[in-house]
Amino acid sequence: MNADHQWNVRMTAILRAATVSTAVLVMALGGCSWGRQQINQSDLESRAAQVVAGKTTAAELEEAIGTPTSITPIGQNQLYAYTFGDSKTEALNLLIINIGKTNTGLDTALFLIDENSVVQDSRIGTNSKDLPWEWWAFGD
Amino acid sequence: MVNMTRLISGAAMVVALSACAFEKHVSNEKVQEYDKTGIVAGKSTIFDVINQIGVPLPDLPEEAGTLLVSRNYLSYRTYEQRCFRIGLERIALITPFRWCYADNPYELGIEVDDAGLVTGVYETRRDMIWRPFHGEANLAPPQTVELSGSSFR
Repeated sequence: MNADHQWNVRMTAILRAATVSTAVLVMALGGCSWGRQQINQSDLESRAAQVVAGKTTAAELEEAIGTPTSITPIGQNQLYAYTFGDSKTEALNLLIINIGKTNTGLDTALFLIDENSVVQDSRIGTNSKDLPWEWWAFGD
Repeated sequence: MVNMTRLISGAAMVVALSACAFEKHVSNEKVQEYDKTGIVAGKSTIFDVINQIGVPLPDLPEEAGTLLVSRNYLSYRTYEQRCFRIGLERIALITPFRWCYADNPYELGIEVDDAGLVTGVYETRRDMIWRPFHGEANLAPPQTVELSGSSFR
């Protein structure tokens, strides 16, 4: 009886320790994680598709894609600049090591507005387009 | 027996709570793929450059909205930060051990004179390291080349 009781106590202690250890290990193993940060209007390129050089006015431009980040006078013209971008983070979280990588692309969309407030030219950056999800942090 | 189980549980908790991490942040990597062939010193103007490859970009999202247009130097660069940390953040509010190294591993520099004419096109590459495994003393000096498009002397 006494031997049985001691055996039960030992088994209970072992089971309790195993449960705690397993719970801690499961929490620590984690897994993968993803994060995303979009800067201003990530869909600016598609919105700007309706802008036609020589036809779209500054007011129509602002209606389509919003107020510019900055307006710079260039002689009689004005340069409307919009900043936008994307940032993607992926990480592998293992028991004793985490490896993660963040890829960020920032872009500027430029619109040259003439003295009659009509868009004459535009240029939209593509740094943030098709940014890859990557977790491997090593190598160039 | 109880001591042994406590030891195992304690060891598992210490291992679980003290993970290390390698973190890398790369901004504007596509700058390295820009087509620079049409930018020629002595011929191209600052407007040709901006029309072809846009304006220089800030390194981080926090700086978005900052236009980095200088009259005499346009710098298009890739930014990279590498951090290694030993974290206890699951039980503590701070990460006590964290080493970071940040630089611009790639930079396309375009010099412009006061008249707006391009006078030089340069490409610089820099090595990156993981601290604390590598020291800055081991870094090779930056490699700068004047691009072939820069025919004007």
